[in-house]
Amino acid sequence: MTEPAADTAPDAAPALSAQETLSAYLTFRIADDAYGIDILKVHEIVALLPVTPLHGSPPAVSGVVNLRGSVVPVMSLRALFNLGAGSASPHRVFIIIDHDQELIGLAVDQVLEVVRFTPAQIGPSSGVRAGMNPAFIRAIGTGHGRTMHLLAIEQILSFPGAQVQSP
Amino acid sequence: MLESDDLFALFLSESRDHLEIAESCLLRLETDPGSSEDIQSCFRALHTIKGSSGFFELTRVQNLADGCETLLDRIRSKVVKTTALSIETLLQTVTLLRNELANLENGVRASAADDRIILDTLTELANERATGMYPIESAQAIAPNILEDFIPEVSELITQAESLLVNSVVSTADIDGALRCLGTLNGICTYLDFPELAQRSAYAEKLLHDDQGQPRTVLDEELHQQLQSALEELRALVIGLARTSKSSPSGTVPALGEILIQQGMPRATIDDVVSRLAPGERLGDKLVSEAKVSRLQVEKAASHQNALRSGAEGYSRVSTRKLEDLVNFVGELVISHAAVLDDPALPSIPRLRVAAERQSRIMRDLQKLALNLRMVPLRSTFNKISRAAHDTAYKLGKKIVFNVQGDDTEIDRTIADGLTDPLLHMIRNAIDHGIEPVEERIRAGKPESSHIQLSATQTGDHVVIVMADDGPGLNPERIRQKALAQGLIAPDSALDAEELFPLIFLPGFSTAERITEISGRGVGMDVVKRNVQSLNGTIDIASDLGQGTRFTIKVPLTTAILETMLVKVGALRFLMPVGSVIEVIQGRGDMAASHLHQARIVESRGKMLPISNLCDLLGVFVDDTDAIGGVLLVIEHFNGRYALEVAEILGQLQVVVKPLSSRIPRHPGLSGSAILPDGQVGLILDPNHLLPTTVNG
Repeated sequence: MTEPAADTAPDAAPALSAQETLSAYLTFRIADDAYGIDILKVHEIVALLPVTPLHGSPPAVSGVVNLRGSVVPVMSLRALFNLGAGSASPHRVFIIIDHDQELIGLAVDQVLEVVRFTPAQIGPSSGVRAGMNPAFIRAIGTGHGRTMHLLAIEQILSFPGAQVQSP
Repeated sequence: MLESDDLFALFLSESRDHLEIAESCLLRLETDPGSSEDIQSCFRALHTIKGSSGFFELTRVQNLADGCETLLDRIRSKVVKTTALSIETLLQTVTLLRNELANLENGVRASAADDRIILDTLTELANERATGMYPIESAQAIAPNILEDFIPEVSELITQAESLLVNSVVSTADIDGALRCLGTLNGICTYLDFPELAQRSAYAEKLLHDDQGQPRTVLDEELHQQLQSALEELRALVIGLARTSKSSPSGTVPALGEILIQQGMPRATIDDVVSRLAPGERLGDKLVSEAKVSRLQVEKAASHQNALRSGAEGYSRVSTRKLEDLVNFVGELVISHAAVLDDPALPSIPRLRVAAERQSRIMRDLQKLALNLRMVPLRSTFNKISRAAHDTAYKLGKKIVFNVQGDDTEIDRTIADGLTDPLLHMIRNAIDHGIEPVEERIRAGKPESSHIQLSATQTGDHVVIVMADDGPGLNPERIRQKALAQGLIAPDSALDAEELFPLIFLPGFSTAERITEISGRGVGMDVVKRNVQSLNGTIDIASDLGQGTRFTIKVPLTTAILETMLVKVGALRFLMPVGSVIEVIQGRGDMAASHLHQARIVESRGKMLPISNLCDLLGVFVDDTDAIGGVLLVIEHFNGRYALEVAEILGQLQVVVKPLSSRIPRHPGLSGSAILPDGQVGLILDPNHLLPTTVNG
């Protein structure tokens, strides 16, 4: 996606080019902000499951859950973004992503919708909330009446600063 | 269509299997040099590798396999004898081939420069003239499974040649084609040692050539007749062979008669009918026509025979990932079914309850089957040990008879792999230190060759592997002195032999008086014990001075299923492998009171053990001090014992082990996870890594 297409069709166009299909995002809300994640990374969306804490893991890792017989680690994006625990929202869900053939769950406050951004609607990240690691945001998508932070999944899952806690 | 990458991966994996077959045949030939079946199988294995490597243009593999094939061909056709040197050279070539396969897999280009020496040796061995020959064996000595492939192939070649030569006007292309068929026929028959067949096909070939040795262009009536009768003779020979192979009782699939006898027919009746069978007549038909059995019975027996036949062959390769998925889904099915069984409404609907109970029986069988798919026979592991035994004995100039039993015992693939290293270490140790030099054995009145036995048996959900030698055994006095010198035991400690032997598993302990290339560097049995323990297994030792030493390894059948103790601290539950728990000590009132003090100890079986609290070890904060302690588990780990404090034992549980993501850092004392009966994830504790390393080491 180095050069933006000159004549970009509006996103309501019935036929979408491959490039536009690639920039489809699942958007979700954490606290007051909207975020987006590449739809191709999303494996499924599930309701909150009972979490077993995983001792010695980085603080943002809430633990592991039983996803139909597979043990899947889950992270709290609130914790990762230093947004505090927040009130127990009835909408909270896990977005299960498939990263390098491994499933990982992300706990978010609410899933919004799938949106498509044309390359022109995606711009560099200008700044993030205080306390949040700027490396976690790959870009900003503007459109559909919202501004969305598009996540850099590789960065989030590399656990910067995390190390195995030796007892 | 397979992608070329897939094809190549298939080639690598199949070639490895073929090398393994070749290796085990060679090792058997060492003790039984005349075994024609092993020579044949070995020949075929290398022949196949040669053929398929040609397809991928892997010249090095091809040359090495060809060298072996040539030598084996000479051995097979009794031109040269099987010697210790030829087997050693063949084994070395097999190793080279195996290394080359690893290189190919890793994309490493290895130099073939050193191959010259081994290839020359192979050629030299192949060209040696035999002085003493083995007795020529009859064609019937050929393994029946080879014959089974051979007969249809040969019949087809004869039919092809016949069809080309049947017309009165024959073109040069027909003659060429017929010559190709006869040439192949001659080749196969020579290779499989059917001299008569080979001779007839050579004769037919000769008929198709003129006096100058050139292929003929026309056939006159007389030649035509001669060819027809030559081909007929060939066919008659093949039919004769087919009959002897069918009536041979040594086949892998029992004959129809045998099956009928098993099903209750008197043997005498069958023998009587068989003796009166006309050529080409089938036993089943004759039995029915003489009203000895019903048609239905014969059909049943025949279908049983077919089942045995297909059971003897059908294997397919399945990726381990798919197998794991299967195990996961079945495990989940069992848990979700438990929710149905536990539903309070169920008992009031009898019909549903009966159906649900039937389902759960099927599911248990399904789960057993799914877990069984991960099992492999120990053969491959034991082959590596046989090979190491051979190599080590050869290097040290010792004479051994290595005996393997129970290598068809099945075990989880990961455990089979995990056993290789400790067993390799043990066999080298056994040959280096465990058996005495020949002169010493003669002095002690023992046979010159030392016997080492490796055996495996399944007992319940464990496999017991025993390695026993008939060497001098362990000297308890020497172990005591060594342990004293290293400060491992107190000078006044009165340990008997049984208590002294396990000391050899301590790090740095070695009674070897000399250090050799093979073993005895002071790293050894402690690593063996550690490896076995990491498989959730145990190792024991028994020895009689002068009589020999026997190691007994006990490992679980599978890593996929673990017998655990479900324990509780605070609101959290954990799974502790039952095999690591030596003793459970119910808490006393004073234990909780002394919780805040460091270095608490408890007495267990005459020893003072340090107490560690699970909450402290994992860094779990629990408000309620009553919910953190009360029960002590005495845990055996790599280097000793300790007491682990938990609040409560909830029960024993057999769980399906699921790995934890390696991407996410975690406490080293958590080795895996499992789904608990209520559907939540439970974490499995690793008793060897729970303690901080300073205490551990």
